[in-house]
Amino acid sequence: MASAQSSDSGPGVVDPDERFFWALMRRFETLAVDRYAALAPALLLDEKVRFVERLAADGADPAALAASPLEKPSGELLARAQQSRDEAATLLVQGIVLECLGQAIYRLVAGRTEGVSEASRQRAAEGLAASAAVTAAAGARIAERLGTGEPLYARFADVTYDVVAALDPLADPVDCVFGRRFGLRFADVMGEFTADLVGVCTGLGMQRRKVVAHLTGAAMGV
Amino acid sequence: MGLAVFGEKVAARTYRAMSSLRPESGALMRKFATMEARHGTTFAAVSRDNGVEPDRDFANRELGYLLEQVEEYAAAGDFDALAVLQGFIVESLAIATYEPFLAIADRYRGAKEVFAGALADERYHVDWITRYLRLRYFDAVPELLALAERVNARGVDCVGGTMMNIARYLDTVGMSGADCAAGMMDGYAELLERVGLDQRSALRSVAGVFAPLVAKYRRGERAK
Repeated sequence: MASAQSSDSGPGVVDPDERFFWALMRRFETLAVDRYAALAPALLLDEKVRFVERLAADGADPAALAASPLEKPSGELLARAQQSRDEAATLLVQGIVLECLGQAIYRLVAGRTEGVSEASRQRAAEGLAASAAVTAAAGARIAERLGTGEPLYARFADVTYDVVAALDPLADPVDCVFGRRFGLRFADVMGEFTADLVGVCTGLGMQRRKVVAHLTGAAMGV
Repeated sequence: MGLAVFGEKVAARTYRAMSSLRPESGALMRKFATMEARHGTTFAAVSRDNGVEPDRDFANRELGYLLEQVEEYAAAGDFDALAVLQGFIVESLAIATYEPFLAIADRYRGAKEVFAGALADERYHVDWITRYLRLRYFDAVPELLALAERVNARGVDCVGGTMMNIARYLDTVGMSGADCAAGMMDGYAELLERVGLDQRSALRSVAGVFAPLVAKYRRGERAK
C-alpha cells in the first residue's frame, strides 16, 4: 500500500477510514476521466485530471473495498454508468448526473467541521470545484449538441433512468460505513444531489416538475 | 378513500386547534375547519354512492402519527408549526393526489365535482397560509428555514410516508403513485420558495427527508 504523501495542494490523507472513502471516490472519478477521454473530450478538463491524479497518488487497498457493503451497489452503479456508449449519453449520465452526485458528496465532506481531517476537507473542496467545472462544461456542450427543453428532457430521462435507479441501494451501506464516522448520510447526499441536478436541468430548459417526477420514479423503481 | 375521508376530518381538527391559538385569525381558521369537515362528509357520501367502503383502520394507522404532532404543536401554542404542517405539508399531499385524480374521477359517480371543489378549497387555504408566512417571516428567512427544517423532520416523514404507503393503491386505480409523490415533494418545495427559501434550500430540505421514505418503498417496507 502506498504511504500517505503530500501533494502540491496540501497534506495527504492518513486516516484509514478517510483513505477508504477516497479510494471509493477514486473509482468513480477514474471512470469519469476515462469516459471523458474516450467519448466526451470537452469534459476532460485539466482541473479534473489533476484531481484524479492526486487521488491515484494515495494508492488504495482493494481488499478493504471488496469487503465493504459498498462494493456491490457501487459496482452496480459504475457498471450502469459504463453503459453510456456515445458522447450524448456520457454528457448526460456522467457529466450531469454523476458529477452532481460527486458535488453533493464533496460539498458535505468539505463542510464538515468535525470528524473529518483538514486534508480531506481540502481535497473535497478541490473535488467539488473540479466537478462543478465539468458540469458547467457539460451544460454548455449539451445545449450545443443536444439542444434544450422538452426534447432534451425526453433524452435525459431515457438515458439516466438506470443510473438514478442504482443510487437507492447505496442508502444503507453509505449510512453504515460513512454515517457514523463522517456524519455523511445518504439522505443528505440525496437532498444536495436533487437540488443540484434540478438546478442544472432547469437551466437547460427542462421542466422542473418533470425532472423531479423522473428522479422520484427512478428511485422508486417504477 | 379512507385517507381522504378521515384525513379531511383531521385537517378540520387541526384548523380548529389553530383557531384557538391566534384570536385575530380565529374566525378564518374556523371557516377553514368547516370547509375541511365538509370535504370529509362529501367524500364519504361519494364513497357510499359508488359502493366504496373507506378503510378506517388504514386511515387511523396513517393519521395517528400526524395527530400526535398536531396535538403536540397545539399544546405548545406553536401556530407557525401547525401552519407549515397542515397548510403546506398536508395540503401538498391533498393537492398532489386530488389534482391527478380529477383525470380519472369520471369513473366514480359524483366524484369529479366534490374533488374539484375540495381542490379549489385546499388551494385557497394554501394561499392564505403562504401570505401569512410571508408576512410573518418577512426579512427573517433564516428563522423560516429553521422552522421548515424543524417541522419537515417529522412532518414530511409522517405525511410523505403516507404518500409512499398509498402509492401502490394510486397505481391500482389508474393514477401514478410516483408522479403523485413527486408532485407532493415538488409542490411543497415550491411553497417553501414562495415564502422566502431559495430553490436549492427548499429542494434540498424536502428531498433529503423523502429519500429514506423512497428507500423503504423500494424495499417493499411500510414508510412508517
